[in-house]
Amino acid sequence: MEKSNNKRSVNTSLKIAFIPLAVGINLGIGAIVQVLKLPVFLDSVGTIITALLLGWKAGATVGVLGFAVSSITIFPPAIYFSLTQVCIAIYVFLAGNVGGFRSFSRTIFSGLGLAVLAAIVSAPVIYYLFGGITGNGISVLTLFLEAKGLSKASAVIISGIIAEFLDKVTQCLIAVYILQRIPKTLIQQFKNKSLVSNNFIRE
Amino acid sequence: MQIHPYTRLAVLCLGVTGCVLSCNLLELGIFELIMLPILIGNTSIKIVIIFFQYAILPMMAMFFLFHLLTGSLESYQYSHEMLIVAKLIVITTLIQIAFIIPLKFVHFTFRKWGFKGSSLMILVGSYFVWVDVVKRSQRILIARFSQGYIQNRTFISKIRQMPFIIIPLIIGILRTASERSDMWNRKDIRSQLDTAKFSEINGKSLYNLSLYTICIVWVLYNILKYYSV
Repeated sequence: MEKSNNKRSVNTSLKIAFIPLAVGINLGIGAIVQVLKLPVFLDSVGTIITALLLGWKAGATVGVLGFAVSSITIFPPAIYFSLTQVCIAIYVFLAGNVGGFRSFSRTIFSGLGLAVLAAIVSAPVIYYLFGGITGNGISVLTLFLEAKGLSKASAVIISGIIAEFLDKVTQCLIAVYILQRIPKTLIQQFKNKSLVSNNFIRE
Repeated sequence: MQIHPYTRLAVLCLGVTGCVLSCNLLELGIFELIMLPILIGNTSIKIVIIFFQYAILPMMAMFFLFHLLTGSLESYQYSHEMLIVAKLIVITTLIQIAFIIPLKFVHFTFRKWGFKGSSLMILVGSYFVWVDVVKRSQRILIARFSQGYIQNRTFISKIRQMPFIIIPLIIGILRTASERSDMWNRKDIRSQLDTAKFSEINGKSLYNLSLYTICIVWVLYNILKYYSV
């Protein structure tokens, strides 16, 4: 009993120590993309890695905290997309448990699913709260589509899906690339089911 | 003059609600002029300059160039974008007032917001992680410079180094997390953090009461205006 409590305490401590650092991964990559005004976000790599290493709750915490801190510094509207981060964490956790990141093709397929989900969850926030413009590179695409005669709602959804496809597939590939290159001894202590089902570690 | 945690929350909730409802550039500008000195007094002018330099100016330049190229500079769309940019500026100021907390009051503020135990540790850790990650990235970059992998120190060549920075950065982060969790377990940091005494702020000062008043007036004005229209 005491051994089990101790094990749980070690696992909780690992979560507490890892989550703030994973927030740093989200912020670091996201800040560079924002400064360069690229038409992608790349701000969920830390969320995806954490959801695969520690489960969806930890992943969602990383995503929401990362967006809160990002709002203070470089991208103010980020905080309004916190729900998207929670959905990303849940999706990655579920996809990870069924081996959705086991191979290159599976990762791309999971990335496409994630893109559709993120676009659907984000679109109402972009449309109703910001009138279609959030200030990143995708806003130009939205304006371009509007200038071509599309309605604002259609422009937001289409530009969102185009950007999310590129963005989420790239993020899933980056996350898998990173997890495959991390020494096995280091990620073995996380002991998550998805690490085994995606061949990041052996049982 | 320190801002109390409850005042910070009030500024954020009431101020942002008012901004979302407001559709007038002039009113947003006046509210920003009132809130900006409070932000500068709370932190420094440097953070405002950085925000304008890296977020607002590129954003405005991007929209300006787009409309210049498509020949729609005088259209309604342009004024709509200006309104969104103005809202973003004011909302950022409010978020910064709420969340930029002096070092010695971070613990007190999060405790007052109801966080304790593990959640308090995660929040405090996340609050300071930016500095940690920047330092680690710089260390890796310097190492790559010294090994001769990067020919010049331009921004573009630094960006090209991203893939080579990310992997060692994340491995370093995982190692640190593992070491910290061991150390925290041995020292039982979580229970120590809950009982530790830190500096406190008086929430009933004139400064805090004025902030409450400004935000209540702002949100009430915008609610009345929004529903009368």
